[in-house]
This record gives sequence, C-alpha cells and structure tokens, in this order.
Amino acid sequence: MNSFDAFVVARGPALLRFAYLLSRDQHHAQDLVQEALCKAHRRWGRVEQPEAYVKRAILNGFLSWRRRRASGELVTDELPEPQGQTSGGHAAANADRDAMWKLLARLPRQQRAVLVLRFYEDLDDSAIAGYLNCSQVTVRAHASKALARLRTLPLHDFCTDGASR
Amino acid sequence: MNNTDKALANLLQEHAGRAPGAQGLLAAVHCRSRHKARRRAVFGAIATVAVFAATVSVVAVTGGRTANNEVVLAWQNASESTFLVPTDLRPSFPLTPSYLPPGLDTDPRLSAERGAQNASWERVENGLDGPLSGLSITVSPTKPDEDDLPAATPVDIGGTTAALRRYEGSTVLTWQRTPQQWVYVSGAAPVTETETLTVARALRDEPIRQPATYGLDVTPAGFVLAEYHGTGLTLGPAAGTPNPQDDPRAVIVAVRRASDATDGLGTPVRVGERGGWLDEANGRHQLVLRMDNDLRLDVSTPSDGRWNRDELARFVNGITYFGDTPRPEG
Repeated sequence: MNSFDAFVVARGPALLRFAYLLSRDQHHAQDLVQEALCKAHRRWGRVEQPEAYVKRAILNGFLSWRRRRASGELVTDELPEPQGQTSGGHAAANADRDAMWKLLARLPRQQRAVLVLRFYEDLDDSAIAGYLNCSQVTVRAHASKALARLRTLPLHDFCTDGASR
Repeated sequence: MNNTDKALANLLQEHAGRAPGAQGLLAAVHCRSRHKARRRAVFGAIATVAVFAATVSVVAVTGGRTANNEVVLAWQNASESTFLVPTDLRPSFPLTPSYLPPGLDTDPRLSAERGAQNASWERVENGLDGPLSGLSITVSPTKPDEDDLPAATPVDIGGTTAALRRYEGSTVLTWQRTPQQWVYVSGAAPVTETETLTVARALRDEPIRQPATYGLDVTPAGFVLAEYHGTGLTLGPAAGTPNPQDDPRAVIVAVRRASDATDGLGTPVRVGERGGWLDEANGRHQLVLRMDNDLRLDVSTPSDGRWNRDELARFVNGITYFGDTPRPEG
C-alpha cells in the first residue's frame, strides 16, 4: 500500500465526517471527499500537509458556487417552524437538536463552514482563516452572525443530553 | 463555551456519526482519478502558441505486432460510412463586448460545457481553484444556479433589469437577455465593478470566432462539437444530453502533459507512427498516444459495435493538434 492509499484508509472516515457536517448529505459528502482526494492524488508528491490540503479542497468544493452541485438548499431568514411543545425533557431536547440541525442547514455556507471548523474540528480563528482564505475578522464575523441565529433557539437539556449518545 | 456553543459542539459530534462509511472509498477515488485523468480537458495556456502540430502519415497498416510487441491498430477495414468530414470545429461565442477593461488580453479563451458557452479573459496563474481574476462572460439557455448567493441589487442593462451581486471579491451580473439566453458577467480584480457593468452594457450580437485547435479528418456521422476547452474537445450526438461528457456515446479528445497522462495503462499499441496504450474497460476505448516526450494525445470513444479498433485507429489517425501546450493539471 503506497502512502496515498494509506492516507485514504486512515483518514477517509474523518474526512467523510467533516464533509458530511458541511453538506448534511451523504452522497454530497462522498462526492466532496472523492473529488478532493482525486486532486490530492494527482499531486501527491508535492502535497506537504495532506490532511490540510484535502480538507481545504473539500471546503473549496463545498463553498464554491461555481463548482457546486445543486443541493436544493435554500438560504432564508426564516427560522425553522417551532416544534410542538412537549412535556418530556428528552422530547424537548430532541426537538431542540432537530431545530438547530435544520437551522444549520439554512445558514450561508461560509457561516456553516466556520461553525464546523470551530466546534467540530476545534480550530482557532487563525487556522480557520487559513482554511477559508480570509481574515480572522471575517471568521469572527461569520461565527458571530451564525451563533446569533442559533441563540434564537430555545435550549432545554440539550447541551448535557446530546453528546453522550 | 456558553450553552449554545456546547449544544452546537454536541450536535456536530452526534451528527458526525451519521456520515457515510469509508468502505469502498479508496477504490472509488482511484476509479474517479483514472476517469478524470482520461477525460479532463485542460484550459489552455495563455501565452504559448502553436508549439505542436501532430501530423500522422496516412498510411494504412495491416495490423500485427511491432518489434516492441506493440499491437498495431490498423484502419484498412474501417467503415468509412461511419464517418463524415466535419463542417466546422472552430470555437465560437455568440456575443462580443464592445468594451474591454485595460490590462486584459484581447483574445479570450473560449469554452463550452454543459450547454453553456464561455468567453474568458481571466487570469489563471492561481489555477482553476484559485480566486477569480479578470473577466468572464457566460451565456446559457437556462437560468444560472443562484442558490445560496448573496442578496442581489437590481441594475439596468440595456433596458433589462439584471441582478448585481458582490461575491468573494467578484462583481457578478446575471440577467435574461432573450427568452433563450441568460447572460452572466463576472469581473474581479483588476476589473472593477464599474468596468464590469460597462462590459455588460456593451455586449452586442456578434460572434467571436477563433481558429480550431484541432483538425479532424473524420468525425462520427451525426456528431457535433459539444464541448471544448483550450486543449480538449468532446464530440457528442447532435441531439445529445446536456452533459456530453457523461453521454456514453461521447468522443473525447484531449492533449495533456505526459506528467498528467495515464501512460502504461492497457495494451501497448501503435497507430501510424505513434506508440501508446489502449485500455478497453467499461465499454470505452481509452487510447493514450505519445506525441513527443512531453505531450500525450488522449482519446476516449465507445467500444460498441460501431467503434471497433479499426474505426478507432481511423479516427485517431486523422487528428491534428494546433493548440497550446497544456497547463499542468492539479
């Protein structure tokens, strides 16, 4: 197994998770990752930081409106419809998660990318700015706008209930 | 972290578990890499001109093998009725800008893909994935995908309302010029927003035509020039699909650098004076021929009953390339 194949085997699952959180679509995630890996494959000997290169390629594919595929997503100023009020704590927390997941889909892609890089990849603003080829100020602006919208959602026992599953 | 931050981090962790599995990923990547390497048509270089013309002697050979154990592809039995001489392979673009911003080449790069035609005065030093730079005009019979674009400002273009968007340092104008023609004009540094608007308002119905980068002695009957880039073209059925390269009947020709070609895949062959390799997987002839040490002619055709090896050899033997040296891929 050469180094490229070994990289795909080792890091493929993580790359797919990353792409899925960006795109929210399994097929689109596979497409993004395969496309990014194809690019890396062509210039493998010249790629110094393979994981960063492939993630950047995934982000470019996701963000580029010139190259993207129609995903059916729509950006809107409207929040998701409120879920029916339920009395159970778990039900309410589930409803919160659903609402947040739906709202993530409605964020502009740059904002969504910033959130995934910050809260899933655990990157600081400097690293995120490097990935997105923008300034740290822009990163903070995207994050601020996105989080402001997310904070409009009610949160029940969400933050203590979701991660343990 | 506040509650929203924690909730978001938890949510992302939770949903990451729903990502698709990686089984088959490596095979899929290799398959896609191979496919793309074969069919990717490369945008042309900017300055280098006509460094190579492939001429092949039209001497029918009779088949067999060479001393190097190459299979000789002969065309003496090719069905001439399969082919017709093409009428016109010159790239064209239906509109001409009466005004061009300073600092751009006067000759655009013309391309056509997926039903849309493009004239581009872009700078491409940063590669295809780099930021847009320069001027690009696209005409399409369908409305461009505007999903997820920033809010538009209406502007007047010759009495028609166009949508002006500012995106990633570009000024983007989109409007329906005629019932069958959507126009998209994009300008980025050094092209200013004012200049982009001036270009859009100065478009006139006069085709831009450029010399053909390929000469083809014969083309499949009923096929037309469906897509083209600087160093590649796709011939598709006249009534083809909107995505000719995805049509199983498509005939794809490209010149690429040796470093970007797939040398060594398939059976060693010789067509006329050129050696190369023929791969016949997945219902396609995939032929790579050496043009010189640095360039390869890459031809992909169907391998159904109409396209046997004789037809392939006849077609390939009639290809002449007048274009630029391809830019490195990737």
